[in-house]
Amino acid sequence: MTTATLDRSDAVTPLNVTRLHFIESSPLRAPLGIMAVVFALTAIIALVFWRLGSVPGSTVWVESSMSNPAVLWALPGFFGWLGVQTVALTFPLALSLGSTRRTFVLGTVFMHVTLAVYVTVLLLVLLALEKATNQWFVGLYVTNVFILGSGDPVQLAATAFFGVLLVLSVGGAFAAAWVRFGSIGPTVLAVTTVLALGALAVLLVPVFSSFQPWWLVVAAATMIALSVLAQYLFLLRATAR
Amino acid sequence: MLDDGKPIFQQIADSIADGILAGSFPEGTQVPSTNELAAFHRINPATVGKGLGLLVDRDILHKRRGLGMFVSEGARMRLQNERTASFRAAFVAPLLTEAASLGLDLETVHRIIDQEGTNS
Amino acid sequence: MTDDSAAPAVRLHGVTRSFRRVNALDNVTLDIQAGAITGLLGRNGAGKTTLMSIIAGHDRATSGSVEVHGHDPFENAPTMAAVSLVRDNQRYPDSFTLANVLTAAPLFHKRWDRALADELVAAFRLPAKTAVKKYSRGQMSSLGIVLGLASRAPLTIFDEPYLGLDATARRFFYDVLMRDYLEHPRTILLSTHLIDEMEPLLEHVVILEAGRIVRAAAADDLRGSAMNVSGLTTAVDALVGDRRVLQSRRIGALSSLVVDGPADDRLRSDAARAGVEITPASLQDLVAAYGVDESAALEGARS
Repeated sequence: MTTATLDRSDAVTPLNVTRLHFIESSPLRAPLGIMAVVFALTAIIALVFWRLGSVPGSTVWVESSMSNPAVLWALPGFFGWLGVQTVALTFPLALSLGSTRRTFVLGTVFMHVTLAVYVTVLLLVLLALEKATNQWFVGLYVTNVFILGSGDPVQLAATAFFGVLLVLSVGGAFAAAWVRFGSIGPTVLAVTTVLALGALAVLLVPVFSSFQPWWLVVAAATMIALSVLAQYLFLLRATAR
Repeated sequence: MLDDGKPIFQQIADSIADGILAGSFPEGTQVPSTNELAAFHRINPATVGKGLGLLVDRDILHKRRGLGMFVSEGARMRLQNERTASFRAAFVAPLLTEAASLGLDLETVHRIIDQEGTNS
Repeated sequence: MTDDSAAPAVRLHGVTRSFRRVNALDNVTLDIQAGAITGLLGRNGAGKTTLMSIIAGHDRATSGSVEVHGHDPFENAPTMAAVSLVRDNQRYPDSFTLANVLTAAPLFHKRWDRALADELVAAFRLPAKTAVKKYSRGQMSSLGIVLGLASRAPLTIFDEPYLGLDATARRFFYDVLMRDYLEHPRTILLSTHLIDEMEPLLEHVVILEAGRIVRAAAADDLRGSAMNVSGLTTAVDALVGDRRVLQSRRIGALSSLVVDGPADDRLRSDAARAGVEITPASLQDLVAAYGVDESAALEGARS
């Protein structure tokens, strides 16, 4: 009776897990709020410099404004936390609702990619507005900054997409280590990662001189792939707690 | 309805038998279904089924395919006879044994029962 | 109610689960009948939760084979989707509210019954505004019951679902469990310590002790499969003879034993002559008899 009603179409799909992650809309709302805060901070700092006698539009003004790292400080913190949340707390619920670990990790990666695309689009729109309004009419530099490619949409897109996805994935890997091994997990993972990156850096010293920006993309993509693999392998041996 | 000692299915059978003796379930009428009894008493339907099965075996109840369980003809009389027999075994026989050990003759026992009957 | 010849919903063969050096489950071989309500009984630490976790695919056996609806549940998507196990310490995302949980569940359980979920939520008076992780013990249990019952999962597992519930809420749970099971028969496995209260619900009983199955039988057969024998130690020992004693309590010249096997008429009449009392052991007596030997403790207290 029960076996007859069982079929493959009942299986939970990665998309179900992705929808579980988005049941709460805060992952989409929060970046908007964070960008608003970044905007406000940038404006306040610009105001301070203007009061101190700096001239909007001058070479010095543009130089120092484009060094604005506010985006770098504001977004990764949130996405790192979100990466941890999406794995540590949603995994036990997904498992109890009948998802496999594989399905969960795939659905979570979809969610992370969706968020990365969303943030990339958000920043591209802001960049377009920033340029169209000639730096928001008053010489504010929020997205047209060095770390986002100095106004180049391709560089901004690559930085935003891989940056967000990397932070989410690494957060997820740390959370998976916690689910699997308890509090010792993330510590061991952090030490291992730092040692591995250090060794890699030493190995790569001879070729540093020929550094190309696309190396960063390859490095980020590799780290993302390793993080996702780590999530899966940790969760495979994890008992829900 | 559950009391310790007796198996649950036996208690189910007894409660239906009590109902038949008391006239709640006249002969030829339907008794509650397994599922109704299970839901009402919060008892596993397999246990209820076993209890009803005891009554079917004794021909107190009979199944009508697709309709349910019905009280058999003569069920009440059979139950009364069974209960009377077990009343004798459980109460009257020990009563006489005890009376004999006290040296009471049958006449005295009759008198005591008559007195008790008029008092109650 | 159920057809014994049907394939079992769960087949375990030689299942062992070790945590470091300790065997939480030790060579467990067990079939769980499809379409029946099975109770998993045993003392704390007997391995009940581990067994349920392995059946649900939440955990993996160290050795042995596990089949749920004919497949190893571990990482098998259709099989895991057909099982519901809400843990007694279930975690939820931090800011999840009741509405969030009730939106999530139907994404995963294709047979989800919204009306049943709404009925249960109203009856348990679950608060809508509070974050689920701030729920009290009883509210947490209630939410687990809502998820388990409304999932209508072909194999629904409850791990001590009553924790923190008062008598009224528990009775309501038993009512709805039985009503919904009768309307939508499915395999139900539940662990409980409230044996006296829940045993009428059970068709099959599995008793687990120290990671091993000590009894697995129809509940009706298990009730009365052992007896309590008590009286003067000399008389009790003479009566019991070489029958298997599951538990013995001795205080001075008095003994109270739980003895394997049903009482027959001859034993009863022998007992009556010897002044020894015999009563059928309840399931609770039987479970208590395994895994604890009080004689040592009591004799220690006497000296």
